[in-house]
Amino acid sequence: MILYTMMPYELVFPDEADSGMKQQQIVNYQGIPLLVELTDQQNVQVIRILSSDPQHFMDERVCPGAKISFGNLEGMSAI
Amino acid sequence: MDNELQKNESENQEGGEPQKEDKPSSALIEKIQQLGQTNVPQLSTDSKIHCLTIIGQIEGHLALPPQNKTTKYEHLIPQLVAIEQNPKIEGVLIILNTVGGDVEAGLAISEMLATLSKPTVSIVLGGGHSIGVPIAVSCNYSFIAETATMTIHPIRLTGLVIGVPATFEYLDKMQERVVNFVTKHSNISEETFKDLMFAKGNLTRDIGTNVIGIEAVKTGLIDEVGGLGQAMKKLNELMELHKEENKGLIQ
Repeated sequence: MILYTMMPYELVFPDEADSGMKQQQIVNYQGIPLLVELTDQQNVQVIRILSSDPQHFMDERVCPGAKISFGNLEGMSAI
Repeated sequence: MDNELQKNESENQEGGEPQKEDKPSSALIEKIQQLGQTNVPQLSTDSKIHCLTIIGQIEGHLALPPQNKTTKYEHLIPQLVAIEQNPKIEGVLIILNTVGGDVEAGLAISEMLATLSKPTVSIVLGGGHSIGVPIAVSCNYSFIAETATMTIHPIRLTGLVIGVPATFEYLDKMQERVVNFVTKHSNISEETFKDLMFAKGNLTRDIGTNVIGIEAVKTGLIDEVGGLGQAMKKLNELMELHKEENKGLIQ
């Protein structure tokens, strides 16, 4: 793989492995693809909306930071 | 019948949104009474124009460490396929604020955009550096914000000295792919682009050039300086043209 970027290599690949990141998954919530983070046993929190439809970004149920219960998610799919 | 009910419901919801703050509880009760549940799946009003944002690093064959904000190839490609197939989507707006990334993933996205049969318009906001350059020029028409910059520099292996001639040739070919794509899809000549790429004294840690807003237009890389308003106007114009062309084909 060749990176063509103006970011210095050290910034892209830092030395110390930071494992503080929570588990992220891609889910489909009412037809909207979302990148979510597991917050606790019942809920996930929206990190990013992956849809290309700008209307989906206006939906307050899936705005970044919103919590969605596992029960409402149709299919959980791992990355 | 059910569909009609849902349609009405979603229309009501949209129409009633500004008033929602006034009486949220009554709207909720109404919903419960009508449908027996609060969570009504909205029939989304399909947008004619879809928007793709290219941010952070463009991620390709290798997953980057989690602190990198990335645009993933495997997210974008299926979206582009869906956009191409969906007859309701008439145009695509690409918004770029990227520092570059994987050459092959970047070129893949660029090729997908260049060969998309629907009108595409790109705006470079903030920055469209390195591999962001081919993505920006791949669209039918490209805009750059007045303050946005694009860094054009050679492809290299993390600043290490290249020891084997074969490696150098491989990199040179890689670079040639980028240069060819950019010169083919924009008005910049190969000579000017390479001049910018190998210019000395412009960047602190590298050879290359940082072109800002109007300079990108002057060199022929980008079509016009502008922002969201201009880009949407252009996209709508292109969509009209595209429609007329299609009509002509059918007749």
